[in-house]
Amino acid sequence: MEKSIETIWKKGFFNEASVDIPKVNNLYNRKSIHVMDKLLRTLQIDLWSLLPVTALVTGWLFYLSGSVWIGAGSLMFCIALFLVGKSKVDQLRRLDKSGSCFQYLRSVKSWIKQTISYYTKVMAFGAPMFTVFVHLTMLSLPTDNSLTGTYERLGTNGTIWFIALTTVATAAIGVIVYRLSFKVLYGPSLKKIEGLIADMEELRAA
Amino acid sequence: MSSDFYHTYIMPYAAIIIKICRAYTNTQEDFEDYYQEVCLQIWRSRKNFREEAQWSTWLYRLSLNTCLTLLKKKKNKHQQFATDYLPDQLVEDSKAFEDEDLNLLYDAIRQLAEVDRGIILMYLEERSYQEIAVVFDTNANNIGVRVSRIKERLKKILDGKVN
Repeated sequence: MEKSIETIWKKGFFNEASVDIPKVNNLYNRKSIHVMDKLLRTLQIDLWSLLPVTALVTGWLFYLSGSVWIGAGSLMFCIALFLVGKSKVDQLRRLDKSGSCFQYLRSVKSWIKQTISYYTKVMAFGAPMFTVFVHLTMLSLPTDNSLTGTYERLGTNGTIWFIALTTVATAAIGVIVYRLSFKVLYGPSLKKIEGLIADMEELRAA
Repeated sequence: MSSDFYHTYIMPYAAIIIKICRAYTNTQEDFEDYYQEVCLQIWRSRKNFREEAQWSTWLYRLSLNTCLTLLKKKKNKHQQFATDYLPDQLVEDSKAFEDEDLNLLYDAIRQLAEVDRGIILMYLEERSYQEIAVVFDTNANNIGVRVSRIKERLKKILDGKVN
């Protein structure tokens, strides 16, 4: 190369009569596409991972109780969770994208809040109901295992307290585990979505 | 971002931002993302600007820092998805200017260390060593020595001695 870099630079930019200036309008569309891709990927993995968990929980409860009814109950509970989860993901996919990126992200944020509230209720009421179902089934069965032995040792009052405590504990643990797992899995995406919305709100206000 | 702010404080300096962003990106899509992110960063940080420095110097510093941050993020992402890297496409997209020599010079600049790219860009824009030193938090002598080394390396790259 015979020309100096200074000459190349000056001549090059002198000849570039008009340097194309990109428009500042598309950044948030691209950013939100990246965030949403990640969110949907995580939701899919989370949803489908429920199936092996269902098999494990059902198998474990069946093994522990020896009751087909408890195994079937667990299977139905987990499959119901899977189906509800699938419909929630479909609902997210169906959100209106024809408006602005700002409106879309606000709808996503609102979907996330509703979903958190929904699953919190499922964990607070559905999981304890399943626990009561397990206890009642065990009490009605003549099978001799560690749990029925516990009922006998505790007596009637003790058993009532035992059922009440395990039910409340299931609700509390269910809600805490759900909230924690949500924070770990979806916290970063939610934070990004909130950041993008805040940015856009600030830009709109300026 | 208000249109007034963009037209008064960014548009007159758009060429600076474009030249910097080109040095840190290989594709048109990345370039546009970097440009827009730099503009937004300028707008977000506008209250941090102090009158004692020149607006253009402050702009250089902010643009370079933003590009370096984005590059770091992109590198981390590429480490996770190494198969996304398409060298042929990058080479094709890097021909951003009509002037072939300028494209070659930019290709050579992209082969430099990240900070060296910023230094040589400011040098080529005829910024004083003192001003470059302010942006890179060093002294003018240091910049002088570094510019000579960078120019030498660029010459070697352009002559095809260094791959």
